[in-house]
Amino acid sequence: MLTEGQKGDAKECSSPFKGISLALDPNLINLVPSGATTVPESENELDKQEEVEVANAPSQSLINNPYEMFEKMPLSRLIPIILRNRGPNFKFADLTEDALLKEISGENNEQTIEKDADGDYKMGSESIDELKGREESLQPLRVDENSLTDESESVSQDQFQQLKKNVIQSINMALNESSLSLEFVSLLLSSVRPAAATASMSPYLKKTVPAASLNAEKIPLKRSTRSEVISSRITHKGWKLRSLEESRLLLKETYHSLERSIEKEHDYWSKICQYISNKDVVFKMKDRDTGERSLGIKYGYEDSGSTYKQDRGIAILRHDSKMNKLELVPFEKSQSAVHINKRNNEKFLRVRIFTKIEEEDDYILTGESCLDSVLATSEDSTQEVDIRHQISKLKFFIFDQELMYQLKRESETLISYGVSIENENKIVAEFPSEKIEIEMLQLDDDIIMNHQQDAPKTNDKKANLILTMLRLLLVIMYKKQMRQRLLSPPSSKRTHSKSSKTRSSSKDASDTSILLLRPIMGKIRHQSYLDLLKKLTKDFILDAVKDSKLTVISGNERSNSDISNTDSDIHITKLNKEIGMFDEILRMPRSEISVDLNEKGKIKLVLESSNFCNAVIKVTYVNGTAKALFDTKFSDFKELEEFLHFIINEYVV
Amino acid sequence: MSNRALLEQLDRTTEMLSNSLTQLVKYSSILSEEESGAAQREMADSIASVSSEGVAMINTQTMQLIKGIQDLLVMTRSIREKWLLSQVPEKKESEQQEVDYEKCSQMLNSWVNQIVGNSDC
Repeated sequence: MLTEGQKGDAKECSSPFKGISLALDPNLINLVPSGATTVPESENELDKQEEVEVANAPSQSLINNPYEMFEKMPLSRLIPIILRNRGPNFKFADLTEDALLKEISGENNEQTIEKDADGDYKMGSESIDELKGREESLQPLRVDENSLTDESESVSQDQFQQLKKNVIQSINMALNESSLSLEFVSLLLSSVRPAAATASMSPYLKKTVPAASLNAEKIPLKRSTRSEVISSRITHKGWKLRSLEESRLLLKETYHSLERSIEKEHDYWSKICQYISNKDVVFKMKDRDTGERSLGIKYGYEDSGSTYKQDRGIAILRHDSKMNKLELVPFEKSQSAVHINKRNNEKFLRVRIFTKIEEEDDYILTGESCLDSVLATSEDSTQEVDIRHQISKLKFFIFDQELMYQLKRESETLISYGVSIENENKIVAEFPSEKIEIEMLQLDDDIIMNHQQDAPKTNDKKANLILTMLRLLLVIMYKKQMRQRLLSPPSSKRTHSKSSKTRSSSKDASDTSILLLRPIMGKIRHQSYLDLLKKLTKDFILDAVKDSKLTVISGNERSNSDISNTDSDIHITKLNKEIGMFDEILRMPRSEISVDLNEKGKIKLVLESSNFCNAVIKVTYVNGTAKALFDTKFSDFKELEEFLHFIINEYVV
Repeated sequence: MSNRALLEQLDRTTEMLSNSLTQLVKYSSILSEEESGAAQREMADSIASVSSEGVAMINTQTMQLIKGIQDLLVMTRSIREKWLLSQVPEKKESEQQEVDYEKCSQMLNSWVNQIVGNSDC
């Protein structure tokens, strides 16, 4: 605000130079309301014209005021105008200098902006005075600076010292630079004007460098000719073209390779989308052969309750771009071994039944299980082998492998019952009239080709039934394992794996729980025991005692205890139900023969087994007066025979 | 990789792609030479610098383009893996069939009869 005031003052000072020395700034004139006018009688025609002009623009801004018009006006005309603007009851005599100054100082504050604009407007043709005014207006800035330094002086002594040091350093540097340049110029001059140059040279320079040793020469700037410019432009463009061409080739090349890989990926994923369902166990894994990122699929039965650890049952989903098909490559630790013999793992189980020829003491093949349909079809067919088929095949192989593994473990304990492990891949179970051979066979083309050409044999169906039951029983083992896992909390499982002692004990438990061959053998053996028992009773009781009757009760009352305890978990109840279904097969065989001897009482023979394969015969004799005389057990038929003989002879006959 | 990280990566990659493409297009323009005459002429003085700088620039931009596209491909791959490992749609026919327990036990009984009956002879 202060500067503006000064500016205004400066302007006011300038106005007297221009025309009549008017103490009044004409700019102030229209600040007074111009509505009321008192026209003195003495005015003439010209006055009237003037009045019209003024009236035309009553609120005309003072900035645009025609300065010259008022200035050049004779007083006789100007005074009436002033009177008119001043108001009706104003006398010219009342207009004093003091009053006007007061007015000006009052109005200045309001009019600063307008005056500012005024000043800018005049800037183009600034007079010296105005420049002076501007210089004056700059002065306050300097004052401000001074005040700033005053403020900075209030900083601490240390800072002041620091600043001082900096200033001195800068001055020294400037001094050094300037003297250096002086030396340089002097040396350069020394060749032309030695006297003048040596005067300004420093003694050190004079001593070390001979005079006129520095020279300068003007090098003409060589303007390149038009042809040169053009040729350089052409080369420039040529290089551009060449690099762009290289870039094009590079892009094209990568485009092709990327397109190929996109196609490959697309095929791969569309096939996966087509064949993989949410029932498959899929996970990310790295392909060891190609090093690519790939997907693995688990076809093993570990999640279904299998405890088989020899083969984890993991395969890599690999895309064969040549054949355009998805390929499953079983993932093994020994990759090379798989490559040498790819079908190493393609083994399946076959059950054969041999019937004994009585007179020759030899066996002939009477039944053979047929090839599973999964293996029989499309092994060699060239049509598209889809991934699902591959998965089911792999599942089949790993299942049969485990079955064989478990069978071998089970058979180790059954040597005394006619079961022998002939070699790594063959188990033979012998029965009085026949023998059953379970064999693990390598799947080869011959087997596939010939599987339907063999003539049907009498026991084919039985062999198939046995094989199917073996598989079903393995499934039941899985289910039991699953139930175990569900029932036992994971924390206890951890402790199991931690301590090797409990682990071995659980292993023992799993050994005894292998129930594959025994239930089947038990059924067959039980039947032959029963036949033998019937024959004995017939020989010793029925033939000896008249009117005696024989009743056979096979099987036994259902024990529903397992099923009755209902668990809250639906999965466990489901498993219980499914396992319970096989109770009939898995239960120890039991048969009852009761012989009614009329008034002489009753003999009851119960044929049982403690381990499926042996036979325990419980004999109970109740005499006519309902008194139990004997209640004994036999495991030997010879003894039983003698015992029966004894009872009949002593008590009945 | 989370959805958010994937989106961020997508943004980054597209940005990079457009940047390097712009660079390439700018470089390939012939008009720019006429416009900035003096500077261009000075540059044109040394053929060595033009050739090496231009080729290097084009090469890096092109490689960036390629890298960006490859990144995009890798992203699609990871998205697919994510889909496969988390949300494979259910197949309708895979619905669990209810086991007919009665029928099964009947079949088991007949199995026993078959095996035992045959062994009689």
